[in-house]
Formats: sequence, structure tokens, C-alpha cells
Amino acid sequence: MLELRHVSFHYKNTDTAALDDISIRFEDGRCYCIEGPNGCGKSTLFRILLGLDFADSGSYLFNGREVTQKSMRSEEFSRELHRKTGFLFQDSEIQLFTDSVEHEIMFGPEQLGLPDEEVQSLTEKYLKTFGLLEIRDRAPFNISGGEKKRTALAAVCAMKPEVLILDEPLAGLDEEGQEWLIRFMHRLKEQHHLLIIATHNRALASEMADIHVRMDRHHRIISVTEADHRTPAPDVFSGTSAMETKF
Amino acid sequence: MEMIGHLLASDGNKKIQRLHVMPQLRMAVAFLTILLCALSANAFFTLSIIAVLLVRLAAMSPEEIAVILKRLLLPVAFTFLLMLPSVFLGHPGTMITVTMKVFESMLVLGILNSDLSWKEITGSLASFRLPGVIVLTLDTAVRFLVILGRFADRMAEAVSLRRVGKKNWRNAGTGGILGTTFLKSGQMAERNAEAMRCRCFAGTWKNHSKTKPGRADFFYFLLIPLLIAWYIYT
Repeated sequence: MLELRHVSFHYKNTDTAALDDISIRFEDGRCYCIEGPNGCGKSTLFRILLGLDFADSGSYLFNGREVTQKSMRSEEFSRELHRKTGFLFQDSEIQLFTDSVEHEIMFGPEQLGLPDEEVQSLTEKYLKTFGLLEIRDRAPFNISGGEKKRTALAAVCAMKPEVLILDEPLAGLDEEGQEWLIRFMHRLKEQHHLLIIATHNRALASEMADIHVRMDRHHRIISVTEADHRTPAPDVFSGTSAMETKF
Repeated sequence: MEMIGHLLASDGNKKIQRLHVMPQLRMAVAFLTILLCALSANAFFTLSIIAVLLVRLAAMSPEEIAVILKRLLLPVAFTFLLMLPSVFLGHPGTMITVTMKVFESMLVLGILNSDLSWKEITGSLASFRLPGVIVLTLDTAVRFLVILGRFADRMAEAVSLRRVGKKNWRNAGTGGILGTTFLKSGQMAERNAEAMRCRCFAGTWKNHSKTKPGRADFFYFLLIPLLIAWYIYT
């Protein structure tokens, strides 16, 4: 579904490459864990996948269509790309911008032009799924870190993306929150979503990854390997959380 | 930080309103009260409004009264000092009238601020035909104030922890804190805009703060003709 072909990228006013000759194909229904040291280019890679930055050389194909500055000027295309690729920031606080948790979830479906009834039913569904019913009227900046993460994820999922890009998803979560999120990601995998996760957490990578993608300090992919050993989803969640994980 | 604390405390989940009156109606009455007092040439009108407001203030908790009066003190004292020369120029009435009007305006705003959360205030702006995207911008501005306030506070704490020996780190760090907060605000705005783009932001946002008028609203609405009639009468 997503394919990068010899993509290189430099930030303005710098000589060093942020990405150097990156080629990789992200297949539907698989989970890719991108691992590498700080500053190796994971975030830049995500920005390119989301159409926020564009390759200096090489090409990025989304559903077979090249993503360029020109193609992103088409409202229809950019809307399709952003609807189908959901992104969870490492710092979820920054991606919450409305006045309440409920409105945060409503935002995406409304922007897609869905009818009011559908927006309402989707909102109720995701409030329930993510255990946010009790804080639906709270301002997103005034809730706990775990709740922020769940709100951000609910807001992204309400747009029914096919691809989920998660930047350090476990960062800032307590044990219960981490367990819930891992179980949720397993559920997404079962439903054949494409997951792309950037993480320094080896336990998470070995738990989730179908494919390990390793990057080095020179902003290159040094290896793409199939996970040879995948542990089943942990059963530690049963009865520990009232939250559902249906998506 | 006191203001940020107030914003946090007035999160929309808490029902701060004692009377279930539509926020837009409260804002309209508050605006009208301030306007009529400003226009009034008669001190009796302003005094009568202050009397009613003081009765309203007396019905609040001691903590709330203290907060409101504390905020009143500075602008009223400042106006008093500013108008003091008028006494020596032979117009003591001017000083009293202007000071009273400032006191009345600040009291109205203080009570309004205490009764309504920031969400209700920004949300009610939609009723005044303001586009949803402007309300969203205002909400975002308030949110940024809170987040950046927290950020600056954490940095100030970090600076004070490093404040050892003779060198005054607090003074040395102020510029750094302000500069870093400024840079952080730019980064945050950029990330926020990107997050909105990633969620297909099409430049419009429907405001959802809809409230249906009730019986209390009807009685509260009656204050508008009453205020106007009292203004004309006096």
C-alpha cells in the first residue's frame, strides 16, 4: 500500500541528509517496527509518509499514486491520504486542539463531511471503546497522560484509517495503559490494518512486529527482517480494564 | 500561574453555574450593564447597579469573593490615582464617578468569570454569529496559554533548582525561559497545524456549544428591558 523508492531528504539549510536512499514497501495487514537511535530519521520518515514533507529525490507511492507537493494540492487526494493514514504523535497533547474530548473525536468525521447522525454515533462508539465516556466534556489539556493518548487514538481511529503510524506509542503511559494499548494494537493487527510503529522499546518491537526495520545513524535502513519468533498476545488484560478493545 | 490554575479549575466538566442560564445570555447582560454604566451620566444608576452586584457577590463563597476583590483592587486603585489630579482641579465628582464605573465593570467581569468556564465563554461566542473556526482559534489560544504556562513554570523550577552559590540564576534564567517558551510556542503551533491537516481539516469547524433556553433564561432575559428601563428612568 505504501512504498518508498530510493527516497532521500534534507532539511533546509543543512547539508546532512535526514533520510538517505530509503527503499521499503509497507504491505497491508502487517506490523512494521522501525527501530534505530535517536536522530536516525524515523520522524522524518513518518512526515514523508503523511505527506507533510516531500522527498528531495526518489518517490513515495500511496496506493500506487505518487505523493508529491503537486499531488497533495489536490484536496481529494490529500484528504484520501490523511483519512487512510492515522498518526499518533509521541506527545499526544500537541495533537489535541478542540475544547472537549467529545469534540476531539467528532472533529475528523465532521471534516470528512459525514452526516450529523453518523458523526454522533461514531463519537459515542469511540468514547465507549476507549473508555472516555466519563471525561467526554473535559478539556483535553486537562486530563492525564494516558487519557490524552487514548483521546488522540480515538480521534484518529474515528476516521477509520487503514494505516496507523504510531510514534513511540507507549511513551508516557503507565503499566495498565501500556497493556491496554498493546492489546489494542493486537486487535488492529487481527483486523488487517497496516501498523507502522517507531519504538526504542525492544519488548514492544518483539511483541508486535511482523517486520523489523532497523535504521542507523547515517539515516539509512540497514536491515528489513521478518520476525522469526512472535509471541502470542499477552493474556494479562483479562479483567484488568473496563475498556473495550473492539475497533 | 494563578490565571492558569483558574483555567484548569474551570474545566467544563465542573458545573460552576449556580443558575442554569445560557452563557450567551449572561454575557449579553454583563455587556449591557457595563455599557449602560459607561453611558450613564447619573451616579445614582451606577450606584444602584453596584448595590445589586454587591448583593450578588455576597451570595458567593468567601474564597470566590476574595479572588474577585483581589483582582479588582489593582485597576480600581490605579484609576483612583490616575484621576486624583481632578480633585485638585476642582472636579472631585469626576474622580468618584470614573472610579465607581471601573469598580462596577471589574465587578461584573469578575462575577461573570467566576460563574462561567472559559469553554462556556468561548462557546457562547458562536451565538453572536462568530464563525466556528474563530471560536476554535480562541480555544486553541487558551489551551496554548495553559500548556506554555506549565512549560515555563517547569523551566523556572529547573532554573531555581540549579540556583546555587552567588550567581543569581533566577535573573540569569528569565531571558532563557522567555526565549525557549517563545520558540516552543512556534514549534507547537506548527505541530498543531500539522495534526489538524492529518485529520483532514478543511478550514471550517462547527461549533457544538448548543444550549436550549429554559425558564431561568426567560427570567434572566427580563433583566435586559429592566436595565434599559432603569437607565432611562434614572
